[in-house]
Amino acid sequence: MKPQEKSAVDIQVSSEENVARILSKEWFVRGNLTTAAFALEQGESYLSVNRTVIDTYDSDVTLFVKNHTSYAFDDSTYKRALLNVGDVRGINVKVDQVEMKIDVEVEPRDRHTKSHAGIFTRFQNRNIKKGQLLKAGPTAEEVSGDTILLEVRKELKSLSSVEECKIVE
Amino acid sequence: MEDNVSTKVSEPVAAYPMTSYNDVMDYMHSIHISREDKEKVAKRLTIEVSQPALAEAYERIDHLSTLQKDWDGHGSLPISYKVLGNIKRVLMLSQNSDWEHWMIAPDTNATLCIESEKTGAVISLGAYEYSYFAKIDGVRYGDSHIDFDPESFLELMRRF
Repeated sequence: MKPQEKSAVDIQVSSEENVARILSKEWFVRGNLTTAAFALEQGESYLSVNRTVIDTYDSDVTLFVKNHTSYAFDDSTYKRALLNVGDVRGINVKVDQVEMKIDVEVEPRDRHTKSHAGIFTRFQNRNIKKGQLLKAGPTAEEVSGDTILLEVRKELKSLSSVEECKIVE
Repeated sequence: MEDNVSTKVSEPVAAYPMTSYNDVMDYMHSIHISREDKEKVAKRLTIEVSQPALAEAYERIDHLSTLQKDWDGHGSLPISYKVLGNIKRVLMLSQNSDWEHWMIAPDTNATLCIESEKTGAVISLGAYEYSYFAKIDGVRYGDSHIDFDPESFLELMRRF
């Protein structure tokens, strides 16, 4: 079954935009970022990111970093993994044996902070969560959502560029 | 003469220049702790001087065991004791070379992420199971909900 095509109206975050995953010190080992930075918590349906074009980006990030010590690399800097939205949408994860097409989408989640957005991984328009088993049809073989999410986070890491940024007061 | 610097078993190395097994033994004779603790410290110090990659992995596990609830600001749990026990069982079977290109990071839901710097393979280790994914030369390798046992886990690491 083919997933529905997205119309231009559905897309609220431009593919030209960049989103930032704010990085914890714990996700770096020997100075290298690990894919743990792009992992979903149990029950989460999207990965939290911030849209850099939104005017509240700096204040939203500053508030978050100030409230969570593992994100402040020192008194004045934090690190972010910058991702182009078009690149994220272009992630191609196919589970060959059962011809499943997985979609990765970026959508606003601005209820609490204006710049907040989510990266969703979907199969047949349903969000994939950790621990789920997926089936392409009633007689199809079950596929683990965990393996798909591991592949997506590996792709996100390879598409991202890590930057050190000043905390804007 | 005794000084007032306490020596923790989990963090045995102070500012003491140790580059050989003899250095370790000299140091062991100079500190005043119970025989049982001395054995633990000696074992860790011997690893530190002779197996640096393995020692780094032990230190990393020690550090990750200190993470508190919500350490990531997204509601993360501390790493489970069971998961920490699992990775220590793997370390006890390992050679130094097994850990030269592997990184250990806290994963979600109290689990650990073991990731290869060389191949990009990712293993997510839980309390009873693990999942992995690797893409090497365009070929995807992956499986999930594999029952944990330290021997097959180490075998998987050696494969990638």
